This record gives sequence, structure tokens and C-alpha cells, in this order.
Amino acid sequence: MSRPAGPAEAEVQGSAVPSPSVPSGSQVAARVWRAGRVWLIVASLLMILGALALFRPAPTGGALHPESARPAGGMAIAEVLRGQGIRIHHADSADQALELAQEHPEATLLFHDPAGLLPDQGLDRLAEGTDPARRVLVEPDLAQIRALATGITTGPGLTPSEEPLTAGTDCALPLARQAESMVRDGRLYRGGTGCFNGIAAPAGEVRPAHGVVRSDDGTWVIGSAQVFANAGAADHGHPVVALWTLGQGEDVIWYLPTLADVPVGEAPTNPSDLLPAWVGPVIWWLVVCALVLMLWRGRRHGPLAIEPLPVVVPSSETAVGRARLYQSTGQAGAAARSLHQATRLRLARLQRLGRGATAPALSSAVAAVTGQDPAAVAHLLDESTVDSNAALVDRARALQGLEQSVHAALGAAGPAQPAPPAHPTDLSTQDPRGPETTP
Amino acid sequence: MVLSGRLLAVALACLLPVVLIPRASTVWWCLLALAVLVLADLLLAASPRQVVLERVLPASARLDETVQNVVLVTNQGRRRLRGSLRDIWQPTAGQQDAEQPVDIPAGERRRHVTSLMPRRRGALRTETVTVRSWGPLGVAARQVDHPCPGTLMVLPPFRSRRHLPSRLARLREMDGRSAVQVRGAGTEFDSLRDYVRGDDARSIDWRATARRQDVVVRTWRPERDRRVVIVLDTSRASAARVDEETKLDTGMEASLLLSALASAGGDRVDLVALDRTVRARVSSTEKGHLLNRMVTALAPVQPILLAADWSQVPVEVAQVTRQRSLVVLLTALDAASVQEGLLPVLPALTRHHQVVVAAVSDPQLEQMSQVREDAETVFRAAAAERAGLERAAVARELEMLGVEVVDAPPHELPPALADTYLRLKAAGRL
Repeated sequence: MSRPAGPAEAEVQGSAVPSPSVPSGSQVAARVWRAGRVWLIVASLLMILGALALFRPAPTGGALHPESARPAGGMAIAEVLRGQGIRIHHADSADQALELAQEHPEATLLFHDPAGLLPDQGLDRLAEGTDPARRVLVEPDLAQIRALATGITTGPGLTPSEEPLTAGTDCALPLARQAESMVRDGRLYRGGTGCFNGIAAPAGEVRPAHGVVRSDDGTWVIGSAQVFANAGAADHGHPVVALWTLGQGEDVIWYLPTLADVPVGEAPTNPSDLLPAWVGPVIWWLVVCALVLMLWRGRRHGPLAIEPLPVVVPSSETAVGRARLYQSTGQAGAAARSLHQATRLRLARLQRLGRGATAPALSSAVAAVTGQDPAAVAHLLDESTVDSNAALVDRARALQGLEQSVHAALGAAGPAQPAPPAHPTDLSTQDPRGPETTP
Repeated sequence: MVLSGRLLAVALACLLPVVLIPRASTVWWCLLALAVLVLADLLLAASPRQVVLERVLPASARLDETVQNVVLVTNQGRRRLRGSLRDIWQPTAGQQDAEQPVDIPAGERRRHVTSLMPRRRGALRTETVTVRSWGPLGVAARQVDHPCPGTLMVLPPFRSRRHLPSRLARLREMDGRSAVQVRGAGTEFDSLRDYVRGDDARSIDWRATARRQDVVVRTWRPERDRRVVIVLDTSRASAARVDEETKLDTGMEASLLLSALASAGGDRVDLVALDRTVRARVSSTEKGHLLNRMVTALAPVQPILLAADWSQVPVEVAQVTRQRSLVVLLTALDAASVQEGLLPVLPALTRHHQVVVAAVSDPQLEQMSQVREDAETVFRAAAAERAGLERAAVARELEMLGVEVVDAPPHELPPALADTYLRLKAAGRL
């Protein structure tokens, strides 16, 4: 726009100056929306996550749970038993299990407690309240064996392996003979009538230990939970073992101890009882002292002074910005053109060649003054040969050197002399008719 | 309410009873004791509200000049006021010892003196004086903010005053008041006198010589009662800082020196500071000392961040005078602002007036163009050279319109502009 701004236009532009006016309702709403939208997004994300966590189906049970379809769950066996018309009663605690045992005296008890949640007292009550001949213990530990299966002790544990345990020729249990094999996992037991010997040593040297044991009073001890778990229920002879042991009666009490069986312990001692009596009051008093300190140091002597700060705009800012632009876009050629033009202008002015001096005239004049080779000077003053940053730096220095040598040859004072102004401002040399009039 | 470190010491001393009698009630008792102490001190302190403040302040000060700021404090209460007083000036007022202790007996008055060393031109303000009154125990104090506004107008410093004597001397030489009286130092006919050896033969007035039977020469003097109109650009172009001061401040220095010189030379000086509207207007035809009126008018003028409206300039100049005058435009030689704003209106000015455009050049660009060490500095040098070439092109464009261009670094611009004025005056081009 090279046209001057008319008065009317100036009015319009003048009124566009931001003024402290009252913002309208929609402006306020837009500002609130801009300021709050990040928080709104965060809040809605949190709400979505919370809702997902709330309505996600809770994972049912742990190992051998009758409603759990996970590999370690026991849903497969439980469903098969239900299909056979056997009722499964799930119990979470010893109390519940004993209650169910009273209701259904003929029921079979499945007991599996790998974490040892049921304490000794609970085990004793369970032993009293249930029929030994109708117990099935899955992977019991030593305490559980002692309480629930008389005459049986624990043997060594087994390293899991692909090779199954076989029933063995000397097996006295029809169940085991029918099943023929079971997984090599869990642990072994000694005593009673046992099958699936897991000890590799020849008989006689070491007492044999078995994967499935029946005590003399009829309690079944199964050495691996894999037999009843969903993952292993169909392998080897597991279905035979499971259905044989659990399918004895009309009902099965499926008792898996939970945290409800853990007795509530005594509260730990309060550490504050161990400290001296004055510590509490002193802490409270130090809080008071800290408040006094804050009020003492935090009080200002009067309000803050307001300084209307000016905008600080360094004048050379645009030139520095342009330099960065040259550099970031690799404009060595453009930079070289600027340097050459400025140098040529100054040299022409120094040599009094005028603004319209041609390049050959200038280079020959410079060569004549400095005594350099005219061709070299002409090459130096030709900007078209600069194509890289390194060449640009070399050329910039060479141009500076050329200017300095011209200055030196002409007897000027310094190398960095700014160009003389177009009009000498000193009045004494300026009198137009001075030489003709002598005072 | 203000608490002191003494109260903290008392509170820490209270730790001893708390340790010795470790009960909750001890804490409550100690707290009560502190509260009673504070309350008693507050009640016994002189009221800081019953204080009358009066400010004695010079209306204006030059930049870098120390000024005494006096607040007279009268205690109208019935108790002795022991405490402190703080006068809240904005930081660039350069106040020394803003907070001072006061001790005023009932019904008496004291002077609260602080020195101000303004670091910024324009109106500097204070709004509040805060009085704090300690109780006899020195544990707690009452504090009140009294509104006590004061404004100090900080005038442009006129540092280029030191260039004035030499220029005035040169003006007197031209004026014929000193020994040199030669043709050429002016075009206005002054008087006739007898020929003495050495006079220019061309200045002999043959008609008068014929009448007198003796050789008579004419003498000349520079024109008087010419018009000088200084237009100071206060737009965003003048907001840029060169050597710690804005271009506007340099322009003010230059216009003050030129005004002082021109009014001494018998010319009429008018100053207009404008961007989109006129910010200040001073004329030497009005009453009062010109320089005083100029610095007072220019003191509150600050650059605004809008482009200047140059179309107003011919109108303003026409309002000031209809006769031929010297119009000095103090602005920046930016290619964009000059080409879009100034160039279109210049023909209207140059048709009737002699126009001078004075602008501040940036010595930092000069330095930048000399450092050529690595790629980064060479690119900077190239950008500085480009900026210089653009300035030169703009200056050439202006010169082709018959405009005189004065382009100098900040410290040299005022004398350079004064010299240009003297040269034009000597050449009779005003």
C-alpha cells in the first residue's frame, strides 16, 4: 500500500486500538471455555476410567474356584459334576463349610488352601465337623495333612515335567488303575494306600511317595491341583480321579479358604507411646512459632508500587533476525550479494567514482590504487562464485581485507571508517564562495 | 497488624515451660500469654491513623538530577508515635532509603526526606504513604496506608546542550556580529560601508560609489525571521532502542538543540509531536521561555506502538505557516515506514518548503558488519550490510525529491542536525 492513509481510514484504524471495554457475555463464555477446556477433558477422562473400573465384571475367585473359567479355575469339573446331578455348594469360610456339612451330612468336602489361610484352630474344627471318609484334600501342606488326614505325611515336591506319573504295577487303588497316569506336578505324600509313585529310586532304598494317597479312614489326598483345574482337567487320567473322588455322593461342599478365615490380630503398639511426654506439646508450640515467623517476615511495609514498563525493542533486532533467516535457509548467495553490494558502494565512494560506476571500472580503479592484479580484484568483486558457507566466510574476509588495503593506500585513518556522509557537515569547508573571498 | 522478631524470641523462650510441664494446657496458656502481649502492645501504640501527611515536591526534574521528596508528618494523636514511614514511589523514581524510622511526639510535626534520582522520562507517581506505629514493648505494630498522591514530571535531559555554545558562535559569525563580515554569509542586504583592502571586488556597490565619490561595498547577513517547523515522530518507528535510549529520546535531544539554535538565530520555531494524533505542540511565538515550554510539553510523550499517519503532516505545517519554511522531520529511515507513509506526502511538502529528514542510525549495525569470524558472524555482517544498503537506498530516494537527509548515530545526530541548519541558513536556502 503506497497510498497515504486518508483521514477516514485513520479514524477506522484508530478505533481498532484495543481499549479497556466491558467484555460481552459471549466473550466471557469463550474465555471460560478456553481456560477450562483442558480440565474438562481431564475430568471426563477420569470419569470414563472410573466408570469402566466400576462396571467391569469382577474377577471371580482364585485357584479351583467353581465359577472361574480361567486356566487355574475349577469351572470345568464343577459343570461336569452338575451335569451328573451333583449339587455344588461353594463355601468361603470354615464356618460356612461346617454349616453346609451339618445340612448335608452325606456331602463330599473338597478342600484346597495353597496359601495356608486357614489357621490351626480352623483346621481342627473342620476335622471335627466333617466325615474323614468324605474329604478330598488337594495339595495340602503339612499342617493340613496332620489335622485332616491321619496317618499320612508329606513327601518331596515334584519338578513339573511333561512326563506323567504312572499308576504303577503294585497299585492297590482301583481309581488309579483306571486313570493310569497323572501330571508330574505339585507334591507327593507318604502313608496310607498310595499310587503314582514319584520316587525314581528302586523300592526298598527310599520309602516310596505317591501322587494320590488314600488314608486308612478314607480321606483322599490328591498331590496336584492340576487334576481339578480347567487347564488340566481333560489331560491324562485326571477326569477319572476327579469324578471318582468327588462323585461319591449327591452333594459336594467346595471349600476354598479365603481372607475371611484369617483371625483378626491385635493392634500394634503406638510409636508415640515410646517418645517422651513433652514431644507433642513442643511440636505444637513450634507450629505456633513458625506461624509467628511467617507473620513477622511476610508482612510488607505498604502496598506494591506499580511500574508501567515500556516495550524494549532493540533496533538491530530485525537485522539479527534476518541473519538467522539467511543462515537457517542456507542463503550464502544472498548474503554474499549484500556484502558485495555494500563493499562496491563504499569503494566507489572512496574512489569518487559516483553511483553509476561499472564493475570493470571499479575493479580496475581499485587494482590501480592497491597495486593488485586487476583480474584477481574483479574475481573478488564478483559475487556469483560464492555457493557455500565456507566460501562465504573466505569471501567476506577477503572483501574486508580489500577495503582495508584501499583505505591504507588512500591514507585514510582507520580500516573501519564509516563512509563519509553525502554532504560534509562542517561549515568551514562549505562556504560556496569561500576561496574567492579572502577575509 | 505487624509482628516483630521480638515476639518470635518470646515465643521461643516459651519452649522452656512447654518442655518442663508437658501438657496441652501449657501450650494454651503460652498462646494466651502471647496474645495478651500482642493485644497490649497494639492498644498502647500511637494510632497511625491520626496522622496528617503533606507532600512538598518540585513540579518537575531533569533526568539524572537528584530531587528532594519531602513528606511532612503531623502526629495528631495523644501518644508519641514511634515507628517507620515508607513513601511508595514507582521503582524508576530511584528513591533512596524509602523506609525511614520516625519518632514524633504528640501534636508535633516532622520532615520525612528522601532523595529521588529519576531514571525515566515522563510522569513518575506515588500514591501511598504507609505509616507503621510500634507499641511500647516493640512486639506488635499497627500499620495504615494513607493516600498521599504525588507526581514528578521528569523532563528530557537535553544532554546535547554542550554543543550549543560552538554553534551559537558560528551563528554569530554568520550574523555579522563578530569580525567576519563577508559576502556569502547570507543573502539579505544589510548595509553599506567603505571599502577596505581585502574586500571582495564583487561586493562593491557601484551606484553608491558613484554617489559618494568613494568606493563603497555592500554587506550581507543571513535572513532572519525564517520559519523552522520540527515534526517529531512518536509512532512505533521511534520506539526502537539505539544505545540505551529510544529513537524518540534522541529526536527530542536533536529538536531541543535545533530549537535553541534557531530561536537564537532569530527564526520562529514550531514543534509538533505526532503519530496518529498530535501529542505535543509548542511555538516560539507564545509567551515564556521556549526551551522550558518544549521540555515540559515533551516530558510525558512516549512512543506508541502504532504506525504514524504522515498525511497529517502537510496539514499541520500549513496550519503553522503559509510561507516557505524549513520542515525538519525527525523519524526513522525504515524502508517500509518511509515508503508507505512518508514518501507519498513528501511532494506536498517539498513544493513549498525546504525539508530535512533526520534519523538515528544504529552503530551496532556498523559493528556487526565488521565482525567476520565464522559463518554466523558473517551472516550477521551480511544482514547488517543489507540493512545499511536499504537505508542508503531510502536516503537516495529522499534526496531525489530534494530532501536533505541527516543520518547519524544517537550522540552525533543533534549536532549534525544543527550543522545542517546552519549550512542551509548560510546558503540562504531557508
